[in-house]
Amino acid sequence: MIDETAREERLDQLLAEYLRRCDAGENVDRASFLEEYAEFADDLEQLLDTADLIDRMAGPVIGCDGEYPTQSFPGSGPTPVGQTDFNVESRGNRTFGEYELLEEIGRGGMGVVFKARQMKLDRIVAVKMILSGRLASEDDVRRFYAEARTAGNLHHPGIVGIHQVGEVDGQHYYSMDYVEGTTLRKLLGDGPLPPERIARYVKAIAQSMQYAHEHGVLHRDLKPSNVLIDADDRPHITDFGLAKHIDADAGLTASGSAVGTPSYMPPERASGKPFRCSPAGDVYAIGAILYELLVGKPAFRAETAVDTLLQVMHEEPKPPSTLNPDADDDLATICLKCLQKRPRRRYPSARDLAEELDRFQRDEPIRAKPIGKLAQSWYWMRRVPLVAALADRQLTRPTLWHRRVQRLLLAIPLLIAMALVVWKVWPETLPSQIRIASGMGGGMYYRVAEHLGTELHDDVGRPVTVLRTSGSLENRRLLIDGKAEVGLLQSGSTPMDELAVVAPLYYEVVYVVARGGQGIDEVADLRGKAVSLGPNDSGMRRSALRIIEHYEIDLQSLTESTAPFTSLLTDKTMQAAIVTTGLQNDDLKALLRDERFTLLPIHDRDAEALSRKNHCFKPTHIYATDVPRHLAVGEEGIPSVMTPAFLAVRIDATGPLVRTLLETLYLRSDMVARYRLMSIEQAAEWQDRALHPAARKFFLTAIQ
Amino acid sequence: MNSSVANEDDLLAKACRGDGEALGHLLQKYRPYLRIMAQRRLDSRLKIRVDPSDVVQTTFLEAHRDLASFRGKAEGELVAWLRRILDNNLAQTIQRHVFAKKRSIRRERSLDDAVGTSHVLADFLAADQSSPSRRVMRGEAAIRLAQSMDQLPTDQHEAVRLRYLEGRSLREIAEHFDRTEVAVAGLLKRGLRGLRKQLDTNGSRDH
Repeated sequence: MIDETAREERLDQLLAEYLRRCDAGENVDRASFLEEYAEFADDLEQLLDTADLIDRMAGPVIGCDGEYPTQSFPGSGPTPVGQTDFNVESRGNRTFGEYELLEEIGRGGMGVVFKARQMKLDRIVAVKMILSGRLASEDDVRRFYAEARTAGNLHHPGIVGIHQVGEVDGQHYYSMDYVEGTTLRKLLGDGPLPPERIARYVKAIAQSMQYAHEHGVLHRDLKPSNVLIDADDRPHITDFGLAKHIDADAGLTASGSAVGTPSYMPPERASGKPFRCSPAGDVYAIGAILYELLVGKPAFRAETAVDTLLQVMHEEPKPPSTLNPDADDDLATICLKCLQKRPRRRYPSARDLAEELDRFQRDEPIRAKPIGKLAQSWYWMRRVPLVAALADRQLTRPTLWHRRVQRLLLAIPLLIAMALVVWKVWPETLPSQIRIASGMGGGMYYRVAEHLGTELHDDVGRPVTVLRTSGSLENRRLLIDGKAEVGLLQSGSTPMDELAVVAPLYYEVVYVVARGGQGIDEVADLRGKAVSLGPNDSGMRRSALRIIEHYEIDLQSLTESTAPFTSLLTDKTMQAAIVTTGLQNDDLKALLRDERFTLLPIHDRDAEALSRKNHCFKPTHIYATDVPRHLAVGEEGIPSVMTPAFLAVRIDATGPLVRTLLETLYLRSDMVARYRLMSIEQAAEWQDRALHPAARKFFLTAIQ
Repeated sequence: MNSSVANEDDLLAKACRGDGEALGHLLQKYRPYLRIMAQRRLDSRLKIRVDPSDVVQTTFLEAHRDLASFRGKAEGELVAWLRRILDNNLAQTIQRHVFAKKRSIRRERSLDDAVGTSHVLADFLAADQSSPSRRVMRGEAAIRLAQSMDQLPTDQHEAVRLRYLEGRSLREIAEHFDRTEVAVAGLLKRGLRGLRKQLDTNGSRDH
């Protein structure tokens, strides 16, 4: 006895074997298969019987789309087709009402077609029948009768005529002409046809359809397999299964379900947009048949129906001559006119098409014009999605090259935009690092810069460096050379071209300090003395030189020193110093606290003259509260001039940098209070052409 | 037989008069059938990850909602009506998924937006996948078959469905399950046996 598990496994293998052979297309003889494996025959038979039962319950196999019928009399359409209970081949001839069914000659559409003998009249007819009523939906039955009715009203030698419509034992049927011969589909397989024959077929089809159109009937599913060719080589149109009365309401196919065969479906129908069926759709289909007759294959056919539909909607057919160099030029032109995407560019009617073909047959010039190169280019360009959008064509089906051209077109504005960005937007960011050009270590500039640097670093989170420099002029150079982003400058001494002011920080006052007991009581007395004017390149020195110039003191007469003014404390040979600095300068405070030194006034008259000559100087007074008591400054104070110190950037500095500096200075730190800087209101009053636009905006907003 | 059929006719008559409860009872009978029909359109090569049961459920909700607009009297008409609602839902689902997928892959907005409006295309998409030997699944027998199949374990149901309703080859099914062909034959064997038992039981109850 075989182990039960092993037996089941063997059964699986045998079933697999059986199914594989069926899949391979083998006509497996069940009886001999069972015989071969007699030991498992009962089990296998039960399984196969159950499978048969499923087949019966699940209904017949859905037919192919009827595009390539196996018999000479095809049906069509994607509608499910049932197998009738009549299997003529296996059961031999049988009677069906007044008909004797001879052989099955076609299958598709909604039914199956038999060659039959109408016994009373003893003539050969074709009988088309719908499936047994149980399986057909009422829609199917309605559609079947509609087809019979529509076609039944047509009596034309080029259209297969309907004889009888009826029902036998619940089986709906109609009978029609039996056309002995072949189909256009089969003829296509025999190789290219001569142009005269093509023209004759297509003209006959067009004439038949003109007749149908005149009787208010559209075919809607014209294709080579629906054109029968009789023994006399005349075409007959059949299968009005999708036919429709031109003015009937949407009715049976209103569901929007896909009807027709993609390769021959006019684009207006393929797109599924609300459309009006019109004879132009049939003209298109005739053109599609003509195309296939010219080149041997449909104008549009892709791997799947969907892709075919997309082609139908969006692609122009290839000129027939590119596929078949022997294709007749005039027929090609006629064909492409039929295949125009827009219905109104096609022949207005089937008759116009027939007449055109008639002209061709009589060797007269045809009326349609070949599509010119320019039009071809435009058709091509229209499929670039962008162009399609501009041309208000909703649908496009771009190829790789269309996309490339599209990219190129799109790139132009993009490049312009990028240029704008680089030019305008890109600089609108903070620099990657901020270097502040300050001044001498320990000096006012340096201290302010260092504080600003620390605050900035906290605010912007990027490297901030404070550069020690000799002063304003060096700072200016560093800014211009791009070696510093921010600098402190003394305005009275610094040319502002190429630079822009972020903010005036504070006024620097000119202190003329002289060693007591040397006979120096007025600035004019400095003539011939040893005077510290400040380091080269410093704003301090520049200011000092202006003062000396004003007093008409010859620089050559001075024992000038570039040593810092603090050297006065240690170097006894130094007799005086002209110092321009803020009040908060500790070195100056230390110097002034030393009782050996005294402050010289720049009298109002001179101060005014100085400010007239150089608008950066303003007259001012040094008050007692600001200086040590030993200087015995009276209530009026000591007159002098002052000049603002600026925070400056290069003229092309970005808005964000300027704004960040201002916000740090005024809004996010206590620098104003600590260094007695001008308040934001005071700074806002300070208007100067050199103010950076972003700073101007900042101050305007700040004071509102 | 008589009592159950009479009961069904009664339900149908009530449903046709707009009785939602009666419709609910009937719908349960059609559920397995409609699910198989939904599966048919969803298990294409498009590999849409949608549970057919969800689409069927939506269909039932809409059927209840729109019952007043149903004008038929026969069961065939009711099933046809349900299938129309189902097909509509499926078409929408397929459009959403297929075109969303295509969009993300190809970023061709103009094409896909336009295509999204095309019912014809969606129909073809759905119909495109037919094997040469799938079955129409129409009529009362098909509904009964679906009900019986519904009792099978999921994998057996799937195997039987793909083989006998969709006409898929053994190799295709093996790839689908990622199992050997013999293993799939084993599934089919068990499925066929289970189904036989179901059909025999139901049959004897009906007759």
